[in-house]
Amino acid sequence: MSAKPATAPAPSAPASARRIGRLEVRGLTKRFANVVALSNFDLDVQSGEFISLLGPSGCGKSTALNCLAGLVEPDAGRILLDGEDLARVPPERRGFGVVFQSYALFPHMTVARNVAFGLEMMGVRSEVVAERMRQALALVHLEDLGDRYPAQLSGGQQQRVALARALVIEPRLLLMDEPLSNLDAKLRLEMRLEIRRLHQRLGLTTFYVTHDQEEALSLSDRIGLMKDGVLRQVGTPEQVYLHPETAFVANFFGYRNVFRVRVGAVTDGRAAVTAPGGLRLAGTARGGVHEGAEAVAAVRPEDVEVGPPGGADRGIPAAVEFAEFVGDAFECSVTADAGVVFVVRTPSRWTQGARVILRVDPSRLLVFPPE
Amino acid sequence: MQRAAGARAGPGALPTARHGGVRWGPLVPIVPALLVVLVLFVYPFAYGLALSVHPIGSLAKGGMLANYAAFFGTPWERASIWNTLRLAVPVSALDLAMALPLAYRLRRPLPGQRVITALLVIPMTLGTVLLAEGMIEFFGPAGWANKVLLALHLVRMPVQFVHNYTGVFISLAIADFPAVFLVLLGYASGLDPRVEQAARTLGAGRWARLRRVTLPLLAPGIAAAAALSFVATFSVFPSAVLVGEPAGSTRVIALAAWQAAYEQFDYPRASAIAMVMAAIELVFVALVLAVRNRAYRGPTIGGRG
Amino acid sequence: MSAVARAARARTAEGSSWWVYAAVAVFALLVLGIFLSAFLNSIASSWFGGWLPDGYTTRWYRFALAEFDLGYVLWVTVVVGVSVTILSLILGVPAAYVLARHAFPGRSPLLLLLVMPMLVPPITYGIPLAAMLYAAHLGGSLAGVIIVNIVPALPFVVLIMTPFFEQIDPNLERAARTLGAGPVQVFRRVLLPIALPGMLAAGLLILVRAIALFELTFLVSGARSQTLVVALYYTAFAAGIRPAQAIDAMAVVYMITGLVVLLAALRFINPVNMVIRVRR
Ligand SMILES: Nc1ncnc2c1ncn2[C@@H]1O[C@H](COP(=O)(O)OP(=O)(O)OP(=O)(O)O)[C@@H](O)[C@H]1O
Ligand SMILES: [Mg+2]
Repeated sequence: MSAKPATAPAPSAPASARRIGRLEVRGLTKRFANVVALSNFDLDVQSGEFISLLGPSGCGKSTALNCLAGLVEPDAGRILLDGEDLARVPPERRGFGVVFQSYALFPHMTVARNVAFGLEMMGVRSEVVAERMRQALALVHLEDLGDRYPAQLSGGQQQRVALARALVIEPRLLLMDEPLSNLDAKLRLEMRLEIRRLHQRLGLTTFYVTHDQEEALSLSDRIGLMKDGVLRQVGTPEQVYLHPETAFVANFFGYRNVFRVRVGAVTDGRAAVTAPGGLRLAGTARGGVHEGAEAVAAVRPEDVEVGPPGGADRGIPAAVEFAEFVGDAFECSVTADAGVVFVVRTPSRWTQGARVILRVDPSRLLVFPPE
Repeated sequence: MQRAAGARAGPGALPTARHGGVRWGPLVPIVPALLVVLVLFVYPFAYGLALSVHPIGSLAKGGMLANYAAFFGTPWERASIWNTLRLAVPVSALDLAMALPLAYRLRRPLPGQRVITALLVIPMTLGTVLLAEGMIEFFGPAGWANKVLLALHLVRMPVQFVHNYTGVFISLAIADFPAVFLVLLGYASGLDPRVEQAARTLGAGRWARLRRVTLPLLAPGIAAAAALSFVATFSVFPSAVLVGEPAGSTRVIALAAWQAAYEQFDYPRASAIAMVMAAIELVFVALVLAVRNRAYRGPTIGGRG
Repeated sequence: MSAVARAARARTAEGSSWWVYAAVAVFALLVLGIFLSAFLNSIASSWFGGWLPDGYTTRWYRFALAEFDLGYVLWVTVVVGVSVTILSLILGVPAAYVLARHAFPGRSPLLLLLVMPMLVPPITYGIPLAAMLYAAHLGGSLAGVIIVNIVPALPFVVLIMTPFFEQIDPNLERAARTLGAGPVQVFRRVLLPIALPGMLAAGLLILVRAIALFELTFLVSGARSQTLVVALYYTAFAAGIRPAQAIDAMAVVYMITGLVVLLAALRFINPVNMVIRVRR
């Protein structure tokens, strides 16, 4: 680990964390009564990688994480750690650290005993336990709260205890299930930085579940997008943000204008499409878009240009419905005469009812096959 | 208490204290209940205590503690304590030992759960008297229990199940079980399964989880169940008479008190015996709580929150 | 399921649960055997030594009805059970609400005092209480029986209803207050409807207990105020004078009365919620 000696002195006991080689997840499937919570889930995780699983509520993120932790038994599929199949390894022998969404701190133990628990289970000598517990608490800035009980801590502090408890055992893999979702916005940002800092310092291979796209983008080396139990796309933050492969992924990353279209001619990756109301648009075809077929078109609010009526080139005539100030720009809801409603982002305020012309850059309007 | 009440909406949710003073107005609704407890419970209790130190009849000359001295000084009377304890303690322990694993398992869904819980709770409606009546038939010399044992050649002579210690023991164990089970079920279903899962991911095996996490978290429930069960079995009365041997091995302390009051009409002596009973009872409850506090320190968090 | 998968399940889940069914079956068989013994005997014309009675009759029920005045005893039981339930709810629910919602000096001792009657044997306060009631000329009367039965029922209401009120979001009441409802209206229009399931649960449990409670009724009741249990105890105690089958007939009537109430309770409430937990 490339710890900088100046900033990372001795207390980083977990810095000697056991490194894993490679985690391979193959065809993981889990069905509950009548829902398929996880379907044919494949993922490779490299040592030291921070990988996020992102998706809407109920899409199976927790199920995937619980399968990795060994808390849910998959119906099919394999989890291989450096080639070793984990199917027969119970959770208590996997050596993975888990941070639960509800923290799941032991209410009858002090903070110190909570953190020491995993070490005691490993049979670590008590002097060493005390030392490593102290270091772990220092790592999350809770040195002074060791004697408190969980009920006497704030949400953010409980979160840190949960983190320390998982880190102190030097996990081969750190699993976190929406660890920040119970915190307020400011604390969430703070803890996000903290998690980033810890990851940089300790280099732990981390599997992180969230439904917050910003969290995933800022923390991850790679992001997996899930919907209905299926992993839709895996890639670096840049890849998923700039080159979504499906309308679902695009919508998750800010393509707020999504509508059904019929595809006209497709040439050189350019697609001419017709939106409801006969609105004709030009866009960039993603794989699987065919002439004459149904498709889904998506564009970000900032990629729709708004101008005054008139001018040389033909645009989409429309009327402004309302404008909202969002800090660095205005977001307007604009209804095209053909009936389609666009959300657009403009530097200037447009008054309600103003007539405008919309222009959409064909390279920014993505056309996906329907799901 | 039930659910994570303490953490969220416990007392203080609507603070009553203001500027250091207390507004007593909102507390008025508690007054009727308080009056009832004072008049119908505290006063009789105190009255009984006072009565017990004013011996009458032949004991009147013996001083304030004559009733107590008479009770402890007479082997026959004194034995009733032992007769009661040797029923109450093992019965409570047995019921706890049976109810704990069941309650722990039934906190999670299981096929037929409602039926199972209903079957375990139904003896509540039997009541000690019906239980005793049925037992006299069922466990009698010609009853089904002995018929089965004889048919299986497990015994050669009918076993004497009733009108002795065994009869009272069985009857109490059955009658007391539902309440113990219900209390434990309430606590067990309040456990957050995530907490045990967290222990698992930290390397705790089955036994370590049980000893370090589950049992300590259930300690308040176990204590409550033990206390309630002891109260119920310690004041056993009807079954000790109907399926026991009221003139001998199952002459329990409640029976001794009742006989003093209603057969000898010596209320002061009966009150003294009742006070001895209450004292033993409270000592036991205090013991249970002390043990519980050793197992579980720190604030109680309800489970499900 | 393959052996491997089964082994894996045993590790991730908590092992199989056959022992639950086995334990419940043994317990249920025992209880059923005891009940059936009494029941069959109550409809047996005679039963000498065989596995089943020699013949059947409804004679003993008619006998019990006439001889033991069963109708009247049942009536007393219902009156006592219902009155005790209603009165202890009226007394206990407001108290539980206050205990759940207000932190005040002395709250814990007060709670302890209110539940104390559950922690001491009824006979300890029952004997002097009976003496008091006789002095007040209430001994042996129906009112006296109802009064004594309130004592153990009240703590039960407090123990069930306090946690129930605690889990109701206090913001509901605040919202009602901002909408112009006074304290009484808040209680009547907002809290009571929400608390109704809890009260129903508490009420049914108290009814079951009031029907089954023996000691206090035994100490206080007179010839015209015996509940079923007490009447049953007297007849059973005087066994030998009366035919055993008639006593069993009465016991069966008692059992069925209690069972009806309990099954009603189980229909309305999950047993898990019938429970008391004491916060310390
Ligand atoms: N124990 C269970 N029994 C039945 N269904 C379950 C169970 N656990 C999860 N499910 C179902 O499986 C699906 C996936 O659940 P999962 O908890 O993995 O979602 P999630 O992506 O973590 O959602 P969230 O963001 O809300 O936490 C959901 O439809 C859920 O209802
Ligand atoms: Mg989840």
